[in-house]
Amino acid sequence: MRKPTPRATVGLAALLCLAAVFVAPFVGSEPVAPLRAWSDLLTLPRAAWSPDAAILGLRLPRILLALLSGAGLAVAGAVMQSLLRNPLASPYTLGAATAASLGAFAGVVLGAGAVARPGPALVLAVLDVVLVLAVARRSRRPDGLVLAGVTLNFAFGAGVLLLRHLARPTDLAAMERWLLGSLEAVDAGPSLALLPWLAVGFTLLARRVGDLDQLAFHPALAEARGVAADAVRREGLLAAGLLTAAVVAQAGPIGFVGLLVPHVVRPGTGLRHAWLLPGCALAGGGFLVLADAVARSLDWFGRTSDLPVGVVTALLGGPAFLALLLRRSS
Amino acid sequence: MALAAHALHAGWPDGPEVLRGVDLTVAPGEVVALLGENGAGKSTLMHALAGLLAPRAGGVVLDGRPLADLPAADRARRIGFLPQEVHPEFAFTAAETVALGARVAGHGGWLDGPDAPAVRAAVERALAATDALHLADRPLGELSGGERRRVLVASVLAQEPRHLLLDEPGAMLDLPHRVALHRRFRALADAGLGVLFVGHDPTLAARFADRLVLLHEGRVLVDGPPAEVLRPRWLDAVLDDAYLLTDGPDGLPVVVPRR
Repeated sequence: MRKPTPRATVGLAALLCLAAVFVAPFVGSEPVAPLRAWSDLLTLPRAAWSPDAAILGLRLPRILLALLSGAGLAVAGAVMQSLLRNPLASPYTLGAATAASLGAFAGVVLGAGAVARPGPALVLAVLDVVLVLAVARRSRRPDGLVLAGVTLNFAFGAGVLLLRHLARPTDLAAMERWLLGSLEAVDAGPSLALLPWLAVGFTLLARRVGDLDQLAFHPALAEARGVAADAVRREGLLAAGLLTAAVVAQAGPIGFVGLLVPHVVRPGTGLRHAWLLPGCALAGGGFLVLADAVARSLDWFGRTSDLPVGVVTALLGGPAFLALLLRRSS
Repeated sequence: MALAAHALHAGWPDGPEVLRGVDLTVAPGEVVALLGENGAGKSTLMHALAGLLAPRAGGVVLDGRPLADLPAADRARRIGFLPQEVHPEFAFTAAETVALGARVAGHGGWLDGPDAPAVRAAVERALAATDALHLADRPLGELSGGERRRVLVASVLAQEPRHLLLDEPGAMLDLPHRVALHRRFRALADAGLGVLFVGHDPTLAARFADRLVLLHEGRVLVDGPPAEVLRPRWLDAVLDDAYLLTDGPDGLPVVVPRR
């Protein structure tokens, strides 16, 4: 079989993403007639909507949040893997997602609303990245970065447990649900809150796609080829931390998207980040939209509430990643 | 138009001083071989000459200007550097590897792969120069050590630099490929490049280099034409009693391992 070109791979990811966005609104515990729903939604005032349109109106904000969250996590994972030249790097293995969770949790305990929640999440995620880099630099081991990340992951995780212990019972249920990764959104608010952070992160990375190519290949060679390795690594990891924190603050720590999606996209796009990153954004967004549709569509043991999407991504992503690992080593 | 180290002191960050006052010049049109025992400071010197290691004292000068004053992108267009060990983590093909070097010379942009019209000719030229064109579509990780080395040398050639700094380019290559590679260095120097390579085979180096430089404990022990450098007076310090010296059929000295 001929290897797909980067252009074809990104095109395919775009198609999948588009298909996911069009199909997902009509998947769920309540059936919806697509044509009726869309025509009502687009032509009638909200008060005159049919039940179909009302359900569509409820699901769209969720789909938008899934799309943006998946894109942010997948791109963050791809950048971390390239910069650290470690295929196991991701917002999770480096501890950034757990750090952001602790930040957002602290926000809840301190009484901060949804708008203020990204603040402490960002601070702690960036702190995590700074610490990981500092520890790795001093340890001088090739695996120092991931070891530092795993250690900090445990430390921030302990902080999360502590806050859960201290939390008011009323906060606990919401925190519990959010911690599993949940895309419940009643309006476009969370997506709009996410958008500026994604824009900043993606812009930072877009300026560096060429340097990322060289660094992913080899740091010393990259430096000899004129790449300011330290500055690019700092900027890239900061951008990845920012994307992670912004997503986690809105949707909770959704696992496996940042780890898995780059591995699926990379064989098609190659290591040119001008293709790889857009490919990851589209595939990550599409994947999370579909995963959320699965979470909504199944009647999980007769429970009325939807399954948190983080459970679905872990159930799909875990085995898929293991399969990838086995296929690569064979 | 030369690349030169003047009274250069250097070492790795937070580490001890490795180079203790090195003077070395590589002029355009010259092939220079850098020899010395393990830990003599050869790789440190190569990194300093490539601008990747800041001098602690003394300096590195390119075309009369301190190397540190040169913007990184300009430096990359003039000096091509191959480190001793390069192990990519991801599945780059040989052609993709060389395309990364070709990009420095302005062949192709961020979106362009090795098949893009702007890149293809440069990639094929560089791969052909190290007899690696047939490996173009193979992932680097699947190649033998010697094949991978040839692809990496090609990726540095694709930068089209004025000076080549190669740290053990012939390591793991079989004899025909090692000889072919050194003939290529000779041809590049004849076309006006300055070539400095690190090696461990004085006999081979003597046949292809204009000058041999023996580095010993962070200092230049001797720097001169092969026939002058390959003498017991100098070699004893570097090779201990592990060698015999004789004359080859071509009239140049031959270093033979001693039983």
